[in-house]
Amino acid sequence: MANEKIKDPEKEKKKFQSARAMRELMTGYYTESKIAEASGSKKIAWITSGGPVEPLHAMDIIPIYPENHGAMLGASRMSVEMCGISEDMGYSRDLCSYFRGDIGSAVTKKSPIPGGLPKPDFLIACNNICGTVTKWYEILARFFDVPMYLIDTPFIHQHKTEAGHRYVRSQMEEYIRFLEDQCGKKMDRDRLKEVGQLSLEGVSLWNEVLSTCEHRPAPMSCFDAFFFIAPIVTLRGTAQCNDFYVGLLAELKRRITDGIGAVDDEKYRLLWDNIPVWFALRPLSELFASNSACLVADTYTNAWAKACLDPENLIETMSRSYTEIYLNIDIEMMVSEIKQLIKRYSADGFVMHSNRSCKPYSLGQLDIAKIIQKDLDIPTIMVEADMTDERSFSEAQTRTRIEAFIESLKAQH
Amino acid sequence: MTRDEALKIMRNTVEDPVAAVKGYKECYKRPVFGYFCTYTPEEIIHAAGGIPFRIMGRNESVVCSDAHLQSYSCSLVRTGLDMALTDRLDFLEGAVFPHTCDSIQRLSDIWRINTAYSFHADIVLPVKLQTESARAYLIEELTSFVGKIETYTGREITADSLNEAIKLYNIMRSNLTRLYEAKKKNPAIISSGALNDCVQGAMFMPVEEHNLLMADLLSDIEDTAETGHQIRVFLVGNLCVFNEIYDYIEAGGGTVVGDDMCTGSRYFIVNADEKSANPIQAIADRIIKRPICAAKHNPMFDRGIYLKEMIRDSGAQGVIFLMIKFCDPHSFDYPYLKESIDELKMPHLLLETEMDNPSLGQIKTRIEAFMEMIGDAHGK
Ligand code: SF4
Ligand code: SF4
Repeated sequence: MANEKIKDPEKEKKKFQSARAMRELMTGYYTESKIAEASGSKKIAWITSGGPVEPLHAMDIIPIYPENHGAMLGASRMSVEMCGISEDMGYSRDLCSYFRGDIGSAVTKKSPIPGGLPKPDFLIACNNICGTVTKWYEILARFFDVPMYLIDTPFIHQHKTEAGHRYVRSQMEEYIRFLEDQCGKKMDRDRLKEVGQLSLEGVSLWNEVLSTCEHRPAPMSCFDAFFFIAPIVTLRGTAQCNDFYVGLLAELKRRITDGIGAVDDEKYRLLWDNIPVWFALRPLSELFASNSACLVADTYTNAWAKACLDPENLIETMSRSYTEIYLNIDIEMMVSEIKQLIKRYSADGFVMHSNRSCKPYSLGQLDIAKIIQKDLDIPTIMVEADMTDERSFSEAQTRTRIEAFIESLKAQH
Repeated sequence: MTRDEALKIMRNTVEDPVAAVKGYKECYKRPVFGYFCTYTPEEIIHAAGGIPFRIMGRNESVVCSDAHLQSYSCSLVRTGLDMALTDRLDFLEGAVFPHTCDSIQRLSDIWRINTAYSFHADIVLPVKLQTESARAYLIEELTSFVGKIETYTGREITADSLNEAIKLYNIMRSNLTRLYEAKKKNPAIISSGALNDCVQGAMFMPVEEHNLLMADLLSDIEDTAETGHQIRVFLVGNLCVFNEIYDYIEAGGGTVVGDDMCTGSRYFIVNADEKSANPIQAIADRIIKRPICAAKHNPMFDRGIYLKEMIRDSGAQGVIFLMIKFCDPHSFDYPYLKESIDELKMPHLLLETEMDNPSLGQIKTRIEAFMEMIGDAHGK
């Protein structure tokens, strides 16, 4: 019994000191937003994860990310209950489980955040990740009876068109006018430039954080990256976000110097595709680790690591970079990004999560797998799951398949 | 031609669209372009000298699609791809993919990678329709489609040829509108299944052919004077490819008096200006004015309010939602539309179908029970 109190020094060494800083950062962010909701001191906007957040920070508006909340519901295993509520309202079980969880939570106010997410004053949806968010935000606009602005970023098939770019560019200006109307004040363009600069730095820092995994052994795995991604998504464009990543980066570099790897005896380096299976992070992470396999990179956290903003030319570069994001490009372009990641992180295998909830991420994976297998001759595996709806996941089956996959990797090495 | 002869041709066309369009291709000596979704500007394909052909899959299990598409993609996408991969669409030059939903967007990539058609076009339509910048972009995107198809056929598309095409499509659309109006006034003049054949027929045959058939049909039908006492049903949803469903409704004593479906009124309800100096703008404006589909965003257009008006106007006594399963946009709208219909105190039923796995028996039972319930409520 007493043994329980004695901590395993090896395990302690592996624990991230930055985890605490991040928890504090995120708690502070949600606390501030709840205070703003209660006092009305600041406007609150709900925004999609791939949306241009910089203008919100520049206007002193608090951005809230329902998708991040969806992930929290998944990780805290509340998602199935919340999804059930929305299914009772008539929403099909085949719809995105972030949406189902979020609506269930909006209606019941049940959430890992006491009282649920703070209510929005208005909504900003950017469909560069999916068509789901357009519908989701229409529903939120009716539910909260607040205005919504949709930033429509034409999907890129084969090449980007200038007409599409002009369209997005005009919308960036419309978006700013929308915010000015909502807040009754003009956008301070100098402030916007500063936020753009902070956002650029934040994204570069996040990229550096992820890049530490190029090292053998990788100082963290993508399971850690899934955890540490929250600030770059929710606080991008703020000094706190950047300070946090400066600290995390230093810790990762220390780990490299001290020879601490995420996985003991790292033998196989793998690339993960798609959104995490939030409710099964631990069993999956342990399963890979116990087989000396480390997921050294993933397409999901990398989507926030492309630094393309130019603060001097913000509207123009925002229009381009928010259109070119990973889920808004065609299969061949995705393949070329995957190939770069495989090369950069020296990955030996490719693990794809076929995510029932997210069609733009998952449809096309079968062809991507074929192309990767053919061109790079590295083994791939498809894991059938859902990012937060546990009912669509069989842990036992997944375990067997992953073990077989790792056996096949062993055979190759 | 008599009404029955015209209807027979419609029926055969819808029963086997591929065989029908192959015949038309032969006789018109025109290339056939496949397309997905009713937002495709058929007028432009026509002005390019082509026959537009809507790809709507088939009611059989898929053979090849499973290697490319997960089971949670809608069966329109799955069966459409399957037709291409099993060489049933080899008479096409290729296909046009207008941006509608996430599934169509990926289907376009998968199709392009795995098939060898000489033509492939994406029309990345704006998702929102109410703003000036969206309209400007829509016009540019349509213009670029004109350029693409011109390059492919080597034939210039003039304003005259576009206006000519718009005129023909307006006739088709007006004909269908007249037929719907006539059926609403007197449901007994044409069966629900035949009504649907007339709409879908337009998606599979050259517009000239459809206009001829409809002219004969309408002159014959509007003389018909019988009346009926059926239960008036209104349909809402994406697409219905099972003619059986119409038969079940009628077998249960019902008849369809209107719809908001993309294999229904959404396809034809609004005309384009056929005398515009800039016909591409006219086509764009028609797209903007159309009652929107769930995959589009227009805060100025409330689908709930629109539906209530349509349903009231149709004199319906019950509403059936017909949905292809795994269709995100329409599933998102369903609860709101359902609530709107509840406000009318109108009974409604949701039927989800999959083309390659229809479980028609169960659908039949549910329709029968629904019709019986309405019949009882109306003292029949
Ligand atoms: S459909 Fe996919 S991209 Fe869209 S909100 Fe859901 S998980 Fe995110
Ligand atoms: S039926 Fe729905 S999911 Fe399928 S292609 Fe049409 S809009 Fe997309």
